[in-house]
Amino acid sequence: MKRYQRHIQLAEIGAKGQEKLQNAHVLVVGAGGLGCPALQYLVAAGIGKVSIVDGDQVSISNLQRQVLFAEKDLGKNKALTAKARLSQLNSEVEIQAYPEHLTLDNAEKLISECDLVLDCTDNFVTRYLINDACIRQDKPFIHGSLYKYEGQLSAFNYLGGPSYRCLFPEPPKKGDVPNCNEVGVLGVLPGIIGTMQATEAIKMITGLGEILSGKVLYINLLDYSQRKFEFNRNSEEVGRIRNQKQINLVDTDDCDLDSSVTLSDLDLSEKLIWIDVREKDELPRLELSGLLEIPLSDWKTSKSQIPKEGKKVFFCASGIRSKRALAEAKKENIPHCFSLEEGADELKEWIKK
Amino acid sequence: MKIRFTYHGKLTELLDKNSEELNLKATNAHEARAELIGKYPQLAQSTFQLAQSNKILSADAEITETEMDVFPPFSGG
Repeated sequence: MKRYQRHIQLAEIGAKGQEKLQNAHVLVVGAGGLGCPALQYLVAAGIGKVSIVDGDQVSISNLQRQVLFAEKDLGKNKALTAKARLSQLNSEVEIQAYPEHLTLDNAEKLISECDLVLDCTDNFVTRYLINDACIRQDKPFIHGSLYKYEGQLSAFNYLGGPSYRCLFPEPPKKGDVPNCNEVGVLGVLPGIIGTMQATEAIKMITGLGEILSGKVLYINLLDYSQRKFEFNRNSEEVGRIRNQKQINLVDTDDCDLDSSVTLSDLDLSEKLIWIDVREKDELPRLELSGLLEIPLSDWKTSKSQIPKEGKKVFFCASGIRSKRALAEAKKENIPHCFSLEEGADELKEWIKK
Repeated sequence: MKIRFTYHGKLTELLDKNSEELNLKATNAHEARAELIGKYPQLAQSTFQLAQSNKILSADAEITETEMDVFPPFSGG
C-alpha cells in the first residue's frame, strides 16, 4: 500500500478508497490518444483490473500524442503494446488486453464483466455500441472526445443518469463530424481529456466529489474557456434501447471504420502487408516487402490469400479500386484493412524517399 | 428578439465565426433551430444542440435568454 500513500493521505480517499480502487475493474475501449493517458493514470492509481480493447496497430502518426507507444512499436497491436508498457508501470494491476475491435459479438460480454467503461474511441459506431451495451448492462461509462483544440467530457448512464443518446439521440450523418485522422488534433488535448476521464473513473469508484452525470463539459484549449451544459435523461429512449431484442449498430460510417490512409500516415518501418489490387499488367510494378498481388477482378478466387493478422493496406492506381477492395474485405470480416488514398505512382515515389 | 449565439467545434468553421448576434422571430428551440438552418443551409446536415443558461433545450423549450450556445458532438479520440 506504500505506493498509494499519497492517495491514502487524502482524507476523502483514505485506505478504504484505495481498497475500492483495488477491487474495481475498468474496461478501456480504445488505446489511442485518450486511452493512453487514461490507462497510465488508472494503472498508476492501482485499479485492481484493467481491460483494454483495441484492434488497431501503432502507426507513425500516432506517436505525436499516444504516449504509451515508441518507435519500436510501429505495426504492433495497441492493446497488447499498452499492456506490456503498463505492466512495467505497475505489476500489481491485472491487465487484460483484447487485440480486437469492440463489436456486436464481444461488447455485451466485455461490458458485463467490468464495473465501468471508458469510451476512448474515435468513432460513432463504437460510441453508440458502448452506450447501448452499457444501458442494457446497467454500467456507467465515461466519455471523452476531441475536435482539433476542443474536448468533450461526460459520464453517462451513472446511477440511472442520462445516456449519450439523451444528449445526441441520433448519430451524425456520414462526413458531418470529422475525426482526428481527417482534421488533426493538438497532441496534448487527448492527454488532458483522457486524464480527466481517468479522474472521473477514480472519483466514481471512490465516491469522491461530483460526477459529470447529466452534464457535458466543453473545453477549448485556445482560450481555456470551459462550458458545462446540463441535459436530462430521455427515459423513453433509454427504455427503447433496454427493451430491444438485441443491439443494433447505428447507421453511420465514420473515421477508422472508413479506414482510408494516406502515405503521410504510414512508415516503411511498419510491418505492413501491401495488397496491390491492380491488374497484373498495370505499371508501375512495385517492389515492397510483404506485397500481395490480388487484382480486384480476381478477388473471389484470391481473397483467401489475405491473412487475418497484420495491418493490410490496399492500393491501386488512384485509390478507387482499393476502396472497393476494402469494402469487400469488410464484408468478409477481414480485420485491420486500410485503403491507400494515393495511387501506385505516388507510392513508388514514397518508397524511393 | 436579439440573441447572441456562441458556436462550438466544427460549427465555427462551417459558419466562419465563433459568435454573432442574430435577430430571431423564434420563441422556442425548435423554431430557433429552423431559423438558424434557414439562414445557414450548411447546418441542415449537421448534428447540433442548443443550450441557454448552460441547459440543453428540448425542442419545445421556450427561449427566455438573450444568449445561446450551439454545439455538435465530437468524434476524435
